[in-house]
Amino acid sequence: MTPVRSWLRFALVALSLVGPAPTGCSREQAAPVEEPAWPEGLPRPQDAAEAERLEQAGTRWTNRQARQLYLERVAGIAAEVEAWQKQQIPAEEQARRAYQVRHDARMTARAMMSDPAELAALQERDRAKYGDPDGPTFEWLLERARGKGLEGDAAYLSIVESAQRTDASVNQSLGF
Amino acid sequence: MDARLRRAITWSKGHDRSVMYVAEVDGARWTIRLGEFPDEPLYMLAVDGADALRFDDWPPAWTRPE
Repeated sequence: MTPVRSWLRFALVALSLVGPAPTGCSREQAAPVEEPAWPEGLPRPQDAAEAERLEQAGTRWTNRQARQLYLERVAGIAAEVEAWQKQQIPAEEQARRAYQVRHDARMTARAMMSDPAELAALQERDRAKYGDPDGPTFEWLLERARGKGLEGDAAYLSIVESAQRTDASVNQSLGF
Repeated sequence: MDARLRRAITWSKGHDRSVMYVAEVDGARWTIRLGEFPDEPLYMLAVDGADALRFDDWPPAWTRPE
């Protein structure tokens, strides 16, 4: 990974965690939040299953930590996509892989949540919005791309692109 | 931590699906909605309809119904 990409990856994660209010809203601005470093010794689960095992053994994360880990995983997708492109992996396969990495990171973050009521609320909302309690499926994203008039590789590449995007306000602040 | 998260507030359940909790604070209507977690912070606070703050963890000073 080039130094520019490394800096960009760090910036995206750091800015995403500050959580600024959207533009055009109240002029009140939250005081800048000092982002605490990841606590030494606190596990970073590789997947949802590991998160559940660790939680049963007594490990607890804040939602902020869960989101921090998620954003770090999403920030790593770009480097993987770059490698797939060099390997000339077909667009559909890239899309399925990119989707899976992001979805797995989402499930890991959800498994790190301590409050079952909060998780249930997210699942209920996702079921209503996406037809699935775990968020958008690959097929849902493909249908959305086709609904925007994209076909074939263009539809798959839009999924690859969206899998790498984080909070819209962060992207806007970085000029994307 | 933002001052709004430190003050003691008692929340009630929202009356429609898009609003999780509501409270009246200093004459203003505060509402809490769910964010697209983990892509966004879990909670979004709006004051009189204007987005004010996003955060992930429920403040200890706030109470909400079960």
